Amino acid sequence: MMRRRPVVLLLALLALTACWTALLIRGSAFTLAEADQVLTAVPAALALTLLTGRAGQVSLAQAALLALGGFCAGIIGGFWNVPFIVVLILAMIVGGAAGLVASLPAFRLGGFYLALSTLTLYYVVYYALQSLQNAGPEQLTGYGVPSAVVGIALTSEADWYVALTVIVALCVIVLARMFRSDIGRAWSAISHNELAASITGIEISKYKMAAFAISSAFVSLSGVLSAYQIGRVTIDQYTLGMAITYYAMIVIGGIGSITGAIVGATLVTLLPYWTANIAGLLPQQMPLARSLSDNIGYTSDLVVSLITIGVLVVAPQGLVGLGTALIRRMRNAKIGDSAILDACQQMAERVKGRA
Amino acid sequence: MLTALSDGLITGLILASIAAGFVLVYRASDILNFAQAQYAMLGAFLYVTYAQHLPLALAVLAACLTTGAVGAISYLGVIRPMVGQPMFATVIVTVALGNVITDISGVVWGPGQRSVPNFFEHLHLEHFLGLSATNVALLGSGLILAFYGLLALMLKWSHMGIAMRAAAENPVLTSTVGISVTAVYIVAWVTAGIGATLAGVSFAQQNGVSLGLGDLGLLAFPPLILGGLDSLLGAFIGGIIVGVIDAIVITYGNSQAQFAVTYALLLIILMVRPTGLFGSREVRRI
Repeated sequence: MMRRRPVVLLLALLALTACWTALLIRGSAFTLAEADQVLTAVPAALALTLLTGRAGQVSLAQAALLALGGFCAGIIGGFWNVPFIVVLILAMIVGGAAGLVASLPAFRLGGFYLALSTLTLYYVVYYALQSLQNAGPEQLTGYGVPSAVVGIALTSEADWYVALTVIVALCVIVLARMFRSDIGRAWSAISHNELAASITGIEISKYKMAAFAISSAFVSLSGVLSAYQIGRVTIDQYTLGMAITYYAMIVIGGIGSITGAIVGATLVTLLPYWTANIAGLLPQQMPLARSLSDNIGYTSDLVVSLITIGVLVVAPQGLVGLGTALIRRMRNAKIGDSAILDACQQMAERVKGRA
Repeated sequence: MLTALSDGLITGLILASIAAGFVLVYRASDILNFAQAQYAMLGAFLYVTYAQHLPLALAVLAACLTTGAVGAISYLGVIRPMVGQPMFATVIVTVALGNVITDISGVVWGPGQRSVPNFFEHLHLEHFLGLSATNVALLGSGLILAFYGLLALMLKWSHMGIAMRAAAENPVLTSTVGISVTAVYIVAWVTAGIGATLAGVSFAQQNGVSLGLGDLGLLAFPPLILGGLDSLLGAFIGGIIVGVIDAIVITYGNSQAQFAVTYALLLIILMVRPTGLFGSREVRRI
């Protein structure tokens, strides 16, 4: 059984990629550039699935870890001309180390205190990188990042689409295996009941620190990927508010589910585009409609935040949870066309296979 | 040095009144309200808007009431339905709540900086008391001190204050003796909103108000931890200590370092003495 699992997972991934590509070719759902943006966000969203969804911890330091990844790309990749793959690995090590340091209070504390110590990580890293940037000639321009070379140089959006798909697939496989292994089960135990988990012999502080370190490494990975695509990093772009964007992804998709993280990353990345389109349709004579589209950045952020709150209050399991609940209800009700029911059941199996 | 101290004192009082809101809400409903700083920003924006139509004293009052109402709505609409959900969900929901307030303010008032009508200007205190501009700002902090005094008195002696302490201690037992715990929680959230508004208005007296005020309010976490998460006195003293440290960092060091330094302090306190100076409740150790 365990031996067959990766095959199922791989098939599910292939199906997912096929769906994506089909949507892309039809061109109606989103463009290649938007697809790249989504795939770049997925590792960071998956990192939160691990940290918050599985281990039950909160971190507000996403921007700091993205910044560490970005600056690794700018300094190690750009300044010292180290190859892309090496930068990727180094950045994950740097991010993981930062996450480990931030979680040191886990030896004594839990709950809110640990969330506050991640704010320390954000402010200290931000200040350090800001000082670094301001000390050199990069003060105004930031660091330039060369184009990534993996055998061939990744220059077009299509190149990146292929590369990102491979990287995201690897992340999904690694995390899915991790969630099913001892460490994943230990995280689940901790998030459900710390006391009970410790009684079964789980060393809580160590597993918490592992969760922080591993998830931080994946967030840094996202930071490297986006830096290489944008081609330039400055410290100003990494605001504290980025944390809530990534949390919106996993909350809307479904906390703790890999499928949920991917669905959520897609929705939250594309929502600003949709919001802008809708705001443009509103009658611009109305003062409210005007200020909504004049401050479109705030409007789209408002929509994302409101949906996040709504999901947390009304349906804490997110879209994936809603989907499985719906299917279960249809199955139990034993009504309706059996062909539809069968299709839904098959879909449920596929969702389970992916998650 | 003296200016650094007096600046620090003013900042400290502002931080203290935001931290007081954290303490009230934490004691009542056991959650850390990350939107507290945004209440301060909202209060300052509302004060600017009301001041265009109302006398300044009434404008402050109206801003306090509106923000208090927003606090009550936040509790009833968002926090109360979340009872029983894990800790991380309450953190995410309050951060998102803060985002919503910031975004609505951004849509309504725009991203720019607004100057704030000086509350004490029309009283012409500087004429008959010979007060300088800094002293006027100190007077604004006096408003916060008065709020603190009232709050402490209320918690100590009034019926609502006793009910509040009882509800924090044991909600189930409190409700069995006929006290409406929901009402107690609502009072806590409204008071937190009022305290934040006073802080926001006082801060804006000197610096004007912009959306960045919400970020600045995050400086209130270190005093909160320094004082102890559940102690009002601790929040007050912690606020002043962190305010002075902050002013010294800005005067003699680098203003960009203020967050890094105060948050490094927070981490050190967490490692060395997690209950802070005056915290009483046992910190959840593992």
